[in-house]
Amino acid sequence: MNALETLLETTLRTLPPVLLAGMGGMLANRIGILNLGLEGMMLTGSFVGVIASYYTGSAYGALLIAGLASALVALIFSLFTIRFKANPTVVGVAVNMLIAGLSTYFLSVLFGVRGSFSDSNIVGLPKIALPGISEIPVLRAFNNQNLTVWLALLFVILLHYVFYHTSLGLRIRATGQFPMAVTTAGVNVKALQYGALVFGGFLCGLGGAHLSLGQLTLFTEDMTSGRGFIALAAAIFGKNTPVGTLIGALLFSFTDGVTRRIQTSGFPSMLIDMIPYIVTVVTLWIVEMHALSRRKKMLTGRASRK
Amino acid sequence: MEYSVELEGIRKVYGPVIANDDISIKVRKGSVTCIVGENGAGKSTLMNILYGLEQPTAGTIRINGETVRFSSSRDAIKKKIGMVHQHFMLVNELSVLENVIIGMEPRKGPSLNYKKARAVVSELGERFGMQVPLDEKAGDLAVGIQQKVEILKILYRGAEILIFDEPTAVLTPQETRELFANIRTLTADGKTVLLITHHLDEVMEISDDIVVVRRGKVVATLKKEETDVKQLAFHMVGSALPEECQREEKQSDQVVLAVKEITVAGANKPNAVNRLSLEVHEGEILGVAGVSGNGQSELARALAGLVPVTSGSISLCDRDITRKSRRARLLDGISYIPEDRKTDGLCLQWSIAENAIAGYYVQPAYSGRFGFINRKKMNETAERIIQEYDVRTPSAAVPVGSLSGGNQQKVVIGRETVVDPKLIIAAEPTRGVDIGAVSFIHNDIIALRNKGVSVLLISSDLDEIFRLSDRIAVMYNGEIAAIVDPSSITREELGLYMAGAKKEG
Repeated sequence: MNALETLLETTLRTLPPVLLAGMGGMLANRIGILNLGLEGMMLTGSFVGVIASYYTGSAYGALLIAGLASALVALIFSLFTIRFKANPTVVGVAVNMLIAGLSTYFLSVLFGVRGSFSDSNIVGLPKIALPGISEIPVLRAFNNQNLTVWLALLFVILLHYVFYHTSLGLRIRATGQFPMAVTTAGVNVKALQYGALVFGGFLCGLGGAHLSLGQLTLFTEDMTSGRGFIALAAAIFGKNTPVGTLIGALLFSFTDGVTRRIQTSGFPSMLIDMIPYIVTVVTLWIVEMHALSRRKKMLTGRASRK
Repeated sequence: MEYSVELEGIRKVYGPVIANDDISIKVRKGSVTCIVGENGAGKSTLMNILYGLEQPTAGTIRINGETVRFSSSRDAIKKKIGMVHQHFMLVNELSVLENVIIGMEPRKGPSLNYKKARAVVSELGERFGMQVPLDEKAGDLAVGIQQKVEILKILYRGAEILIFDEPTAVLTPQETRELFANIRTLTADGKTVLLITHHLDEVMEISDDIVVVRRGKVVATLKKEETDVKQLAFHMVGSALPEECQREEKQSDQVVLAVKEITVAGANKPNAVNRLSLEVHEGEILGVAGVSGNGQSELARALAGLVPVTSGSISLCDRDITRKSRRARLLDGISYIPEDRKTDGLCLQWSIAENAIAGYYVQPAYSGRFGFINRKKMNETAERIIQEYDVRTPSAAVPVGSLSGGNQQKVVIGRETVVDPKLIIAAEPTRGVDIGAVSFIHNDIIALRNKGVSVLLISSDLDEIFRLSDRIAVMYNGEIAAIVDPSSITREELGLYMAGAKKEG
């Protein structure tokens, strides 16, 4: 494989967490609730994934359980924000802190370890071998990718279809803009919001499981290290559309991949670790600036048309 | 007789407040029934109960003779009741088609069947004479068209009984006429229309039956042929309206306010007011008419000194005040009655007395030498306002938020006029005020004018504009479309200027 293919391969390998959680964040944005708890929901997936894999010995089972565990956390998040009308920002931050604490606690209770946990009983996620393409340039980067990579891409297609070709999608798109309009049209908006948040949580869980069971089979404290927030940035970058979020996630995991390459060449690693986050801030700034100038143009354009 | 809707003994109690007190109404199938009443009379509550948004404390609802109980608007929709809300329930970013079908989308397998939806909706539009552009975004349409989309939306849901909540509040006279024509098409088709309004002229134009509601009770049920505007007003208020104040002949041509080519930025528009010029003379009421959202708010705020102008100049009695602050202009004698008394006009938690000098406490009469407020003076002013403006309140110490809308507005107007201003900028001075208070406020404004005070009246209520103005300036898209003499123009002609279909010069 040449350098480009290696880079593409790394990008794809690191894509699922940001992409899956990004779609979770996108769903939350679409129904009008900011989900800052993506980070905690993803960490739940990482942690529960490792435990489930350790006890059940089944990678598929672990993946499913990780998703369900995160969905449960998302359900708690939705109960607080929808039912009890708590401020979503505060609840989101609380979820992140709670899960960080709980995972550390159970790590020491269950396995008596601190910091990280690894064991030969943990089964990693299967890689999908595509013998047909191993000789085709560029495309061969897709060979031997994790199951979650394909799952994540599949969910992009699925959500795109749901958003723009089904009534459920129409209702979701309308809810974030003007929930009252959807309510008076006779739709149960709260059920819609619960559904979107819980499903988003499930996606976060899959993303988290990829972190702990995809490449390595180990859990370390705070192993999501801000990916939940980067995921949210990817969703915003993608204007809360499935394909847009995919592009955003690709951009960030590409930066991540580049960063890892540079790391091996001897630069101070702390400085290099900053790069994905700086890219996040800068892209969001550019996106906002672009949106602002477009809005201005549209308004002056509309005024002069009259 | 066949009745579509029968309300019997409807009662709705919120804590100590009785919003609906034993209301009984029968609505004939295929008729237009107007529910008239002042703000707070309980007509919106009643319609919300009929639409299932609220549940009555007691009483029964019968639809086509069948007793029903609604726990949400979904139940009402099932019984073929639809409501066109005063504030449209449209998602601006979605297309018209999507807005119409949302909640009842036709399907084809798992997918939404856009093709069928389009066919059904355009057929519906043709049948009722309401063609709308299906692919445009709802937010890009004019208000009158948005309202048609709303009507189509409930027709699409199969509504046989249509409730309109203050449908004409946002329309130009032409759009109102079109709406009434649409309503007639609907009733001709056998549909039943319930219409809430407080515009009595419109009631006389469109209704078959009229129900007058006052303080939660039905005070009169009338046939249109048996009544007139005066009688309706009497029922609504519960007493005869005060005599109209007569305007004296105008005596001066001296310019008090001169505005030259000002441009003012709005919230999302750099030229909400666009190179606008006007003059207000001494002892003159200049009415600024227009559909709301055409820059009137920005103009009022810029003249009051709350927002800066980006270009142009403003002068008061030949002195330039373009760069002066609100406080400086207030001391110069520019009073300001803001369009939203609850957010800009009053501090609702404060007492009447405190509100009576709010803003004016900087005057030496109220601020003592060490910056303490002279409470005695403050209370005197408050008592004077309560006396002269007939504010119905137990005392000056009660929070102003506990008063009715009309009495709150009287406090604002009292505060802004007891100071002997040179110029009053009155933005929507009677919005959301009962008609008793409206005639009081109108008389007060005319009396001020007779005393030589200049008034810039900004109003989206054409009755008010015609009743008060010496001259009318029509605002459209941030500019003055025309300045006209109220005695030589019809409402329809004014409507053309308001809609931007006609422009002077």
